[in-house]
Amino acid sequence: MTKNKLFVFFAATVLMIVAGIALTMPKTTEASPALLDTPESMQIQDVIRRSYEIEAIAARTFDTSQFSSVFANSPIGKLSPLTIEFVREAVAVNDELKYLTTKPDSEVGFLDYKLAYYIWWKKDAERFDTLLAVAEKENRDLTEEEAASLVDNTGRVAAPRLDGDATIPDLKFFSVEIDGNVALVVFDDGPRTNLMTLIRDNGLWYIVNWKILDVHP
Amino acid sequence: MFKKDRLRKAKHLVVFVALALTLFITSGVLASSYDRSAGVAWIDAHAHDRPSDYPNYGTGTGRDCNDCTNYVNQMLDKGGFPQRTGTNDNYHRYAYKSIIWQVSRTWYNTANFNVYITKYKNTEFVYRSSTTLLIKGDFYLMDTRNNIDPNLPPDGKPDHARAIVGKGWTSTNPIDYDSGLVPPRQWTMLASQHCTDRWHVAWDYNVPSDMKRWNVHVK
Repeated sequence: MTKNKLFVFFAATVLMIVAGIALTMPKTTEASPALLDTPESMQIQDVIRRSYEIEAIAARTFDTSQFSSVFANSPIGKLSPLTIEFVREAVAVNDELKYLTTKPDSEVGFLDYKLAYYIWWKKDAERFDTLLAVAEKENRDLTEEEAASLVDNTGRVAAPRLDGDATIPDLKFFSVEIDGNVALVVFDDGPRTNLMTLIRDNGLWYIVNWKILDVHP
Repeated sequence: MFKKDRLRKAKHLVVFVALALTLFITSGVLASSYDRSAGVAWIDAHAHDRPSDYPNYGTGTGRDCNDCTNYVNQMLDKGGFPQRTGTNDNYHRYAYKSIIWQVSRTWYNTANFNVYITKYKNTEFVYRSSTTLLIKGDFYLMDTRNNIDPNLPPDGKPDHARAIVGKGWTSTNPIDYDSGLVPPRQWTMLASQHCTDRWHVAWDYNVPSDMKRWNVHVK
């Protein structure tokens, strides 16, 4: 009887210890925890920061040559039909994007979207600059036809290139979840809370999709 | 014979004056009647509320708050900038109450408002190449996201508007800033807006350096 009691006591103690250890141990999932200060996580955050820097320069110079160092096309970052439609509209009115005409929707990726956005903007801004320069030279306002030409058949209005210094916004990172060669990053850039998907290719990280979780401009 | 000539000349003069007057009325009056101080005084008083004089397109922040363009149009309206009533297309801009609110899309939808601006470009509005060239009573539009699906990245059409209220010291009220974090006070060009409601913040507060903008000067 005493032996039995001792056995039950011993078994209960072991069970409690095991349960205690199990409860206090951090839960593990397939993805690594959303730590912000690991070398890999820092590398990913740098890529996102650099993408803002490259875009800020492109918004002033329309130099998109660095885009492929931070953005990539990947089926993992599958674009939404609306974003693909945006790319298609840009392709239709811009010779510089003609190489995309034969690309099937399933292969149009985030790098294509970014190039389409800036090449479209460039075309608009150049038209804007030219019309304004001629009008200023002739000391007059734009004519009605000139003003009308600033709106294209998709209802988009030409915008000028940005001026002033290109600065990087103070990005606030909330989480970086890495699962093999894919990372999901949640961060705030000021007016938006974003979820970006990145992939690792040959040791380097590239942004392949961008979802806006919240807007608060 | 001589009398007939004088009569004809007088008729020509009347026609000429009538034409000149028509031209003046259709272009100049709209522009010259804009009282920037009155418009800005109104929006200064209503940066954090929704006055019953105008329709309300949401409060707070996020996707359900769509009052920014309405706010800018209130500035124009209170500044005496005439509404243009008519059909609800990109050529008209109005908000008036007739039992219920009658409001054109150009009044509250930023992209439609931008197209309206191009319809009256030069006579009423002028795009500027830089936001820093704007003055009190002007405004600018931004492309922060996709207009149809707010989850998606920018689509080249504006979806947010900010009013320029002139130069001065930035607000020190935490309510005007995200998380109540007040940036160092500075003397600069100031902006106010709805959604998120902000009063007298630096014109470029929360505007990333790559964000597409349309800078609009009101004539």
